[in-house]
Order: sequence, then C-alpha cells, then structure tokens
Amino acid sequence: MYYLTNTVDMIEINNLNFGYSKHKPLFKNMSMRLSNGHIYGLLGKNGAGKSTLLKNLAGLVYPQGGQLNVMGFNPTKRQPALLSQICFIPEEFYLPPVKIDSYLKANAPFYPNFDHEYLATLLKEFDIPAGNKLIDMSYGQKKKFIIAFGLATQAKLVIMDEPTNGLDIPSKAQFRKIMASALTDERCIIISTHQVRDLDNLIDTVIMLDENDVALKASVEEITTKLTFKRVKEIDESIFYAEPSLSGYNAVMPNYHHEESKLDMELLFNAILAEKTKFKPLFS
Amino acid sequence: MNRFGLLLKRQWLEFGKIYLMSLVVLTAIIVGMYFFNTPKIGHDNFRWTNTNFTQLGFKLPLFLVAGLLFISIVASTYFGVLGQKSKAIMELMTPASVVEKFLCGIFFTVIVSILSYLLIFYVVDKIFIQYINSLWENQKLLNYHTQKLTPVIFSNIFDDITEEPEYKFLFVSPFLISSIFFLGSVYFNRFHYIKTAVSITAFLTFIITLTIKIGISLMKDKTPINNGIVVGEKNFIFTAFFWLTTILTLIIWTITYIRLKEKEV
Repeated sequence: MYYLTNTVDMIEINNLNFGYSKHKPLFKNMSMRLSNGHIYGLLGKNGAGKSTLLKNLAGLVYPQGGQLNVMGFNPTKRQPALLSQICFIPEEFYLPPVKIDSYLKANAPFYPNFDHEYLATLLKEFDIPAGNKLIDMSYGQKKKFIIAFGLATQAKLVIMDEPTNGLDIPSKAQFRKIMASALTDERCIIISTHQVRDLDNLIDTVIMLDENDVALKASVEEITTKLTFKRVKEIDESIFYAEPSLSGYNAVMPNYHHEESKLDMELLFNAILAEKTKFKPLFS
Repeated sequence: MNRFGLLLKRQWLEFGKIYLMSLVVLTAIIVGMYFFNTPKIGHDNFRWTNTNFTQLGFKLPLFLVAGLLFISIVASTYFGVLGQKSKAIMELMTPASVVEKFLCGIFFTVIVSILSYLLIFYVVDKIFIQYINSLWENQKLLNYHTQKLTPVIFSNIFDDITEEPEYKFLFVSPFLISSIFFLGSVYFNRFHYIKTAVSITAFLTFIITLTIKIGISLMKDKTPINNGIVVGEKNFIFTAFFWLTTILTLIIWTITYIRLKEKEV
C-alpha cells in the first residue's frame, strides 16, 4: 500500500509474468519493490524487457500473471488519479504540430500540480524558446520539451525510457543536472538506458534485468561496499570478472578490504551477464 | 465533468485540424455536384414528389453516399492513433478515464460529425435550391401524378428524405455505420478503413448467403400462399430493422468500449 509518508514502497511487483508470445516469456515470477526518494537505473541487454517493464508499470500492457501495485493503484485500470501522478517519457514519442502554448493549454490542466514557472525554468535551461512551434523543433529539442513538460507535471512517479537518446553532449549534462535536482523525497524516478555512462553519478540504485528476472537490484552504495572496481596488471582467482584495457585489466572483485572505488556501471553490467552465479550470493 | 471538457478541448487540438479539412473537402464535393447538376431551362425529365415538388435526381444518392463516406471516414480516423505506438502512449497516458475517452470519441464521431454533415448539406442545398428555383421561376411542366401543368418548384433535401414514411426507420443507420468504423479504428492497428470495409463486406456476404441457403432449404417443395409482402408485414419488417440497427449499434459501442479498455501498446 502507498501512504502519504516518505518511507514506504511506491511500486510493488509480485510474481509478475509477462510475454508477447506464450512460448517466449519476458518475465517469470518477477518480484521487486521500488520506493520514493530514489533514482533507479534500469539496465539490461536488448530484448531483456526494460521498456516492457516500464510499460507494465504505466499500465500500457497488462501482466499475464502476478500483481502490480503502483501508489496503491492497479495500473491496468488506468485511473486518472494514477495517470496524473505518472510522468512517462517513452523512447519514441509524438508531439502534435502546435505551438508550445497551445500544447500546454490543452495538456497541463490534466495535472493538478502542474508548475508553469518550473516549466519555464526548465525550458530556459534546455534553451528552448517558449514561442516555438513543436513541429519546427529538432528531435533533440522535442525530447527536451517532453522531459521538461513531464517534470513540470510534478508527477510522483517519473518513468523514462532511453531519455538521453537524441540529446547532444551539452544537453546530456543539462539533463543530468535537472534530473538530480528533480529528485524529491516524494518522487521515484526510473530511467532505462543502454548508455550507462550518461547516468553515471545520477542513479542511486541499479536494477539489471536478465533471463526473465531481476539479475541485480542494489544501491550504488551497496555495490561499492561489496565489490571493488579497479585496474589490475594480472588476473587472479579473487577476480570475478575482468576486461582487458590498455594497461592491464579492468576488474571487478569482492571488496574484502573495504577499499573505496568508483562504480563502473558498464563493467558491472558485463560482469553480471557473464558471471551471474558469482555475484548472486553477494546480493541475494 | 470538468475533466471531460478538458479532454474535448485536448482532442480537438489533435482531431480538429484534420476534421475541419475534411469538412472543407466535403463542402467542395457537395457544391461541385450541385454546380454540375443544376438543371437548365428546357429540361423536363424530373421526378415529381407526392407533394407536387420537382426533385433533383442526384440529391438523394449524393446525400446517402457522401454521408456514408464522411461519417465512416471520421469514425475510422478517431482512434486510428492507437495503431501508432508513439501516439497511442500519449493517448492512453492522458489522465482521463476510459469512459471519458470513449464518450469523447462518441461526441466527435457521432454527434459532431453527423450534425455538421447535416448542417453543411442543408446549407449548400438551401442556397442552390433557392438559386435554381429563381432560375425556374414561372416555369410549368406536366406533373405525371396529376396530369396537369404544375409550377416547377424544387424540393429541398429535408423534403426528399421525409417524403417516404419508411425513411424514418433508417434513422439509426448512420449511428450503426459510425459505430462499426469506430470499432474498426480501435480494433485494427493499421489500414483501419479498408480492413473495416472488407470485414463488413465479408460479414454481409456470409449473412446473405446463409439466409438464402436457409430460405431455400425451408421453402423447398412448399407452395406459395400469397405473392409479395402485405402492408402489415412491411411495417413489421421496417420496425424490426429499426430495432435491430439500434441494438446492433449499442452492442458495437459496448464492444468498442471494452476493446479501448483492453488496448495495449
């Protein structure tokens, strides 16, 4: 259940089963809990089901088994009270060929907490003139507009599917800055991406999907407490996974000596996919 | 109620431009048909109505065909966005209930489209009939009903569609057509109009073939006891048609609502 406090799970997924065909399930009895006050990074290979999981949470597809609870609502019912608290930024989006002002007049009133001033600030930060016609904007500008609009709705659940796709380098930096400031105690932000480096220093919890289930769900703090990421000259048995680099190997290993290291998300991702059994006891 | 109003406004932003453009095209087609079919003095091959008006033969078929096409195209376009992933996400994530989204669709595809069609047809007809009547002022022709020379006064479209009492039983037909194409716009992801039209054709072919086959098997080796349909039976058939179209329309709207509720992206 969702209560108006800042200590409980915002999303509960219990034994979720879903697949686009009966013979090829995407999720088998997947369970997970996500709480407010966090930015979750959703990672996984192509076809692992990242976008599908996000769609399940938004009620855009229906689970074939199990229960989904989003802020106390069943998302499949698509109740306005829930929809007004979800900001969903899809990878492929559509904006009508109208002026920003007309778009706002038609769409903003659906969100009771819509903050026009905040939107103006975000548009300014993203360098988008408020008088622009949406049709005249580039893909990147449209993406920035839809992100700004979504955040200005003040929705409690922000779901973003590949938000940095199509953004230029300065915009990616602006995006990280804006997202970091958008996190409040009441908000839960889930970002799915392939471009893990775009989200470095932004996400606080990593969720990795693989083989129809959650392969890893751990906070960055927990990961760097239990694992250490470092460059080594030679590989020994203590190393869980290593990738050759210019001056040796980039390695992941258990953090027996409580060393401080920076999470290398790309390395962790490859490591989990290659050596899942080695990591499981640490994060179970 | 407030949210429903907001939804109407939002949908108009999406749907309005295409809709207004289709109204312009419709008006141009109707005006064109009247323009090219304006009868010249000397023409004497007219149909006379029971109320001694002369009738322009092209009007009723134009009214029915243009109406069928306009209403079906509008209904088929409305939820067509649900077939495109990016648009469908925006549509389904709009904070309004499924009932509100459905009723909004009914408002645009039934109320607005049928009323605007009737209004446009009526206005164009009124203007042209006034003009044609002024051209034919003081002209008389032989009325084949009365065998008398009668002043030529052309009937307007509402005289035409109310002339035969049976026409009133067709009142629900536009709603039925709209509901079928409205369902098609939710059910199919692409080529809504063509797929819906093909489905109707296939369904009607099946029903007609089945009726004929059953009729033949039931009537085999039987002797007819009367010829044709008597007045009482005719009324019964038209009344049955009226209620059948009404019930079918309501059923199809219910199915559309359920399909909309279950729509996934």
